[in-house]
Amino acid sequence: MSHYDFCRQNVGRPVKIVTHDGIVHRGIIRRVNPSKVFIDPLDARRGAGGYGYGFFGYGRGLGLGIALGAIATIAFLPFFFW
Amino acid sequence: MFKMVSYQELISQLGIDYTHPGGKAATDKWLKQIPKNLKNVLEVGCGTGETLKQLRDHTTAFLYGIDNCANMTTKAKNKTKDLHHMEIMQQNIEDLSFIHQFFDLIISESVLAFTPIDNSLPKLTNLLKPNGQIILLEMTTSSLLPQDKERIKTFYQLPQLLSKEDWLKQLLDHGYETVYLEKVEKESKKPITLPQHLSMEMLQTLNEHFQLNTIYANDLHTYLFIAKKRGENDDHICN
Repeated sequence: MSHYDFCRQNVGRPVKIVTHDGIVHRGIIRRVNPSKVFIDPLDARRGAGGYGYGFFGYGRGLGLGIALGAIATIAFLPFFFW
Repeated sequence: MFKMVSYQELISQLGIDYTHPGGKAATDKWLKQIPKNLKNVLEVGCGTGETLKQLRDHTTAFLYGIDNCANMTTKAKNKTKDLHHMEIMQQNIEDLSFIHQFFDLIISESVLAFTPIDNSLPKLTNLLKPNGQIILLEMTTSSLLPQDKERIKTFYQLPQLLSKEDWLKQLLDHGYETVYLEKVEKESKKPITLPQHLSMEMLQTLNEHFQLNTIYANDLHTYLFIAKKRGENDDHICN
């Protein structure tokens, strides 16, 4: 399955994406287009104050865009609630 | 700092099924073990009613579900509207309006841990028949530094954070015997799906939840406790 198809089928799910440059992204798939997937990041920096609106051009409803061509692996992120 | 909603508010706004550790697999674990010939069963914190719906296939008992959140009880009522012998009410454990020793079985899937247990457990015990069973699927902790414990308690608004041994002691002190316990896998095998529209405040809380459980992955656990309330005769001897 292509990364595009995987992302399309798993909108709303928490995933771990590793890009070819070795960077790990964790987040919830928000939307996907033929060139990018947008995730709401789950990131330790998020709550620390240096992260939020504006970071990575990140804003409400937009998410963090990752080029599909840059993705090495994508997998479901283990998740649960208390 | 970014604004957050409380963890309970997040859960309520998400309104998704199985918001307890282990998800459906954890529910299946105890569901197979419930006694036969039950008359009245109570689930505290029934959420969207998914567990009650499953319970319906396993017992002919009258099923009662309570949740303190109106959003949840609305969903649960909707989900179970075609099922017989089912009553769902918006109620707190503290205000439970059932008669003494009414239930054969009481279930709490990650609910009691969020309530002041010194108060809530005796309340539930009182509603349970002698030899009735209580099923708990709850958060436990192993050795944590006081500041880490406080951090977890603050975020989840927990009145207490108990170890497996503390839970056992609570059950034994409150008139239960023959406690069965089993460690349960926290993460669900089935990937979860979150609703499309999450506010920034919800995302902040969701993220903090995820980070805490990454940091404390080896310190927070889930245990299933199945305990039987002592019979009347035993009570008599004790008195």
